[in-house]
Amino acid sequence: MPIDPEPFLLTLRLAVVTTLLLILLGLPLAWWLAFRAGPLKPFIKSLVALPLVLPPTVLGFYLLLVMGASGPLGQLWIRLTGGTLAFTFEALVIGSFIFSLPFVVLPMQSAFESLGKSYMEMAASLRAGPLDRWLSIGLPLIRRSLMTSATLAFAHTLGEFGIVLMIGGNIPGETEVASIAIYNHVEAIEYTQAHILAGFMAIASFLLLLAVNSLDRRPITII
Amino acid sequence: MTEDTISANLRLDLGSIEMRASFSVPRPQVTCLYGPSGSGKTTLLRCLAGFARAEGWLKVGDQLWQDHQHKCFIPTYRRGVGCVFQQDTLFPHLNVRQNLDYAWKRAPRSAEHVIRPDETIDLMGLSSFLTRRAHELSGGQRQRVALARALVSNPSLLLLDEPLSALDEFSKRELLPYLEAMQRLGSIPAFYVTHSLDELMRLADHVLIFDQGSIAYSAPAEQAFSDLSCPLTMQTDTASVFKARVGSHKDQWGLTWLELDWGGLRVPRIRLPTGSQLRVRIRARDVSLALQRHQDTTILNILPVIVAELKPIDGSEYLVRLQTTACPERHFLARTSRRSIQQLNIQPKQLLFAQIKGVALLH
Repeated sequence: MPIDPEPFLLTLRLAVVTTLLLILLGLPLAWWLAFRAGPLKPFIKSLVALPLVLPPTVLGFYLLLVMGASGPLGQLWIRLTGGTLAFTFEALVIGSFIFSLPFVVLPMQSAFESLGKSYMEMAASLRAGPLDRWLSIGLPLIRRSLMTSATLAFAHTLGEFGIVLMIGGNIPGETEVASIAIYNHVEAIEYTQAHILAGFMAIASFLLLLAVNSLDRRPITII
Repeated sequence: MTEDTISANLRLDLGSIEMRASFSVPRPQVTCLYGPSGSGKTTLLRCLAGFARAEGWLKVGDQLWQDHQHKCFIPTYRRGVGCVFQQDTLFPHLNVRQNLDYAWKRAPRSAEHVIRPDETIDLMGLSSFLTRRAHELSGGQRQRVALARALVSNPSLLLLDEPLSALDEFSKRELLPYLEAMQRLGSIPAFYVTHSLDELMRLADHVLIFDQGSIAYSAPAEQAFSDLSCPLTMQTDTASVFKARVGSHKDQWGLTWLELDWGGLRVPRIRLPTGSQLRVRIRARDVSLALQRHQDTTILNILPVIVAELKPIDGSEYLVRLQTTACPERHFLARTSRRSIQQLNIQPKQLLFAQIKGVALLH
């Protein structure tokens, strides 16, 4: 009875791509929320936090509508690439991105707020330009919060089920991630395969969380 | 208006009050901003740094730093402003040496006054804790590093916002000489926010007094402390402040002769070499007035003066502004009873002799 590694590799790929995107886009959004958002802040913050409280199926349902062939994002996708968006790897990335967004944006926003602007202002006064300031002061000072929230987002993407089922369908090699593969194995009464995949997922997730918590144990001198 | 000034006309709405600062001060000097908290001093400093964006214009020397009307705004990182604030100024992930190097790496080398990290390490006495981080330093050490770092960045303007206020009395006394040393290093213009009259007297070349968001008074320090229209002279411990130079030592009497631009003062022997610069403070209470030059007195310093102005300060006392005969622009104050004023019939333009009982050295 062969074990198909495909769902596990696909899950890993999805988690890596999603986490990178979350850092790239979530970090500026968190900064904006912390210092610039003004009266829009509660509105945007609630929107970002919505995936924390909504059932994944509700989120998945709306995303399916938006990304479907007649939805606005789906239409745009067809015009840009010629193919449909729903039930593709790209759709999974978008879904996971939105689903894990609060895990990066909310902690990073509070990290920025407690860091304050003063160090960045000091760096500017010492003639560090905007990018220089970010690389030399901003990122090193928030790196622990960033590591923690990136790892959480990564682990969260590994374990996601509802959304990927709704918008990814169940296409082997394309959108069949580990959590769905496990479900399929159980449905087909293939308990051994389910065991192996589930065990893999459990150990990987535990190791990730262990890494995060070990980071947290060091004495806190900077944020 | 000459070119070598820092001048501005800035407005910023702070919600509760509006900061309005219109001034022009000589550039290579220490300008002290003095006034109650919430009066706009720190806000002006933040506008000078470019952290806050005020309306209006700001010119430093011949460089226009901002002009709201012409949409000109030089961002902070192109201004070169060395900042020392109350706290949170050192980068916590870098040690002392790395903090200095951070500034040094980005400092322009072509300018006239290049101060190397090693020079500031000596000047500020940092050598024993170069590898420590900010949280391992005392408050006074932290501020010394912040000062050193600001100097290393080769700033066109130093901005100091109550750098001593978070320190205990001991650290304050420890740090003040460093501030004065920095000042003597010279020709970096500085804006210094303070609540403390003592710091003001020790450091200011020019005084800007804030009240409710606007500048209520602006004058050179030597004038401000002897100006009866200046809010400072209405304080209980009114004193005049002058720059002086160590002239000569009279070892047989244990005295030192100080030279001022309006005369000389004898003080107990001080340990500074001839030619040293320092400041002296003459308290209005320590000056008494006489119609003739008395020979039969123990007072060492008796100077001819002309009465310029009399101002009653309460029912029983007067402040008298005295013009020195050697330099008509220099004045100092005497505090005297109403009874004496009437008995001696002291009038403006009258020639008197000022007997100075005590001279405090501000170093």
